[in-house]
Amino acid sequence: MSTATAVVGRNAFERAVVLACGAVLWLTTCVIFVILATNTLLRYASGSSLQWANEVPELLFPWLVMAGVVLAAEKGAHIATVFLVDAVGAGLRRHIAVASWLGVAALYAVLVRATWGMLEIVHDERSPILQVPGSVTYACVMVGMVLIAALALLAAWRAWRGVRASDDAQEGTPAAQGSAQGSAQ
Amino acid sequence: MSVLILLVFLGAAALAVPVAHALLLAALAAAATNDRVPLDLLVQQMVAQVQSFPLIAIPFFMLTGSLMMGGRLGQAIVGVLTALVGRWHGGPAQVSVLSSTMFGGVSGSAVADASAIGSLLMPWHRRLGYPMAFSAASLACAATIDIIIPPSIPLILYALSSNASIAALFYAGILPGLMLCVGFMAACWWVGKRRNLPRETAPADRAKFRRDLLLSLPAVALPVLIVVFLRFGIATPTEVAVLAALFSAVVSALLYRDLSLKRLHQAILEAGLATGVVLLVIMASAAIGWLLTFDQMPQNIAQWVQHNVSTRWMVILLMNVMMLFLGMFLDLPAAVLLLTPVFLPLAQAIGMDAVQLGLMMVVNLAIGLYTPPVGTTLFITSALARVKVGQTVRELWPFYIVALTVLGIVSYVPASILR
Repeated sequence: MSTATAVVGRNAFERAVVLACGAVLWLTTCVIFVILATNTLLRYASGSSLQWANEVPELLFPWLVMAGVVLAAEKGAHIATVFLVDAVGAGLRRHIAVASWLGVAALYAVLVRATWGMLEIVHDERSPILQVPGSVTYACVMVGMVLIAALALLAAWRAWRGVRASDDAQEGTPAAQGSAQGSAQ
Repeated sequence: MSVLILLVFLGAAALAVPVAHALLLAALAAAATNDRVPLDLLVQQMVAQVQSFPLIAIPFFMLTGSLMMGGRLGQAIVGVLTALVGRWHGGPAQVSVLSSTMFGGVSGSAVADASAIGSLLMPWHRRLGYPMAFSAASLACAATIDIIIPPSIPLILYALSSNASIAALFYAGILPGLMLCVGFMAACWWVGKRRNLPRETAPADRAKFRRDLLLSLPAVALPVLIVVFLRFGIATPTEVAVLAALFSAVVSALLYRDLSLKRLHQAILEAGLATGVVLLVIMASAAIGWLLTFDQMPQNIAQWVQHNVSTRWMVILLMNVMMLFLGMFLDLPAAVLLLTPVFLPLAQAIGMDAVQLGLMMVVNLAIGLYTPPVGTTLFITSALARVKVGQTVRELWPFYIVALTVLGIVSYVPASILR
């Protein structure tokens, strides 16, 4: 991709997002790891297991996932197909990039609105043992969507100005962000 | 509605919108144009995926792979395999195939495999004067063995979508994975002999070989432990994933002595990021899957096939052709999640069990990973080998023959699946 040549550093917002996502990933991974490993070993050592051992990981997993989703968005790691966009001229590519990122931002804005509307309803659903409201999980997903939308707007702004963040694998379209990634494949 | 979903998805994907976002855009378009589809339902489908206990296995299998592949294990495996087969015809490429098979036991990701092994092997291949396009082609194919040998993330996704047992799928994946390994090695040998490709000539260092062999043993032990734990019901798949991560951390700390806080930090971030990439596709696929079911697309396709295709082998052929085509364009996790509800009724109608369908699907869709226009391992290995994708593609044909043969066996010979 050659629409943008200038490289800019991450701004304070992006640095904060990376830091926060990293912290959430550390915390959730370690807590889930300790609980599940302990519970399995305990089951074989003493024949008993912790009642809440499945519930806490289930409650933490959405935070782990959304931190990973947002971090992947920030680093441009979501899988995309670039070959068609690569075949067009630089000017058109830039316009496609701006339009695509704005489309992604609008998509998540709509989803955020829908999720917001559901918070009150799912608040009454409680987890069986710890009685944590269902709205906590929905709010976590909603926060993740807000951050994805914000990052998409930032990407659109950068594509419009013809610059890219220093950590991006490639620049320009959403496609460029992650064509060679996809660790589950 | 299904047609609109397909058009919006293809349009967005063509404009380089990431697959997960493109799927969600398609879902949103369908909801916006149909009064009977509230947006809340799509959000519910998405959130339900991150509340799934079995999916917690994914970040921990990812973490296991990151911990094991980022350290000395990779060098040890490559060292042992180079000493064993590096002198054979096509030996350097066979090392790629065997390394991928062994890495398959510690990682469930073909992309991670291609990157890690490519970084280790490509410099050696270049130094030997090996044709780099062939080197890239052999590794692009071999890396896909990773997602067939347990642990396999696509098989976990298939299990969730089909209600098949993860343990049964993991066990069943062993034989097709080994068949691909032997077949790809044979292809490397044949090409190496026919073109008289360079081989390793340096004398083997016995002491280094013994040391590397010892260091490689955990990579062999881990998949065996995973399968044993699952087969005998010692732990659930999620617990097995956590125990595998514990095993890899202990081995890295005590045997390889390369587990620093920095490496652990890196591994956790890598695993979290990779989980985020996969889970967003899963969340989006769940929304689309619900819409397609609501639109009765799976039932309609099943009915059409049952009325128009009479024989069992034709139904299997049809499913395979469709998967090969879609696999060239669709992201593998999304393809598994979207195609399973469509093909499961068809498979049941012809008496094919869910485990065999799962293996057939993953072996088939894995071919898409090294087939243009969207071939993830193909792009990675070509970039690492510093050759054009077109050059790599020209070297792929012996591997396609092997992969299609194994696909044929898995599809038509139920006995090829361990049960």
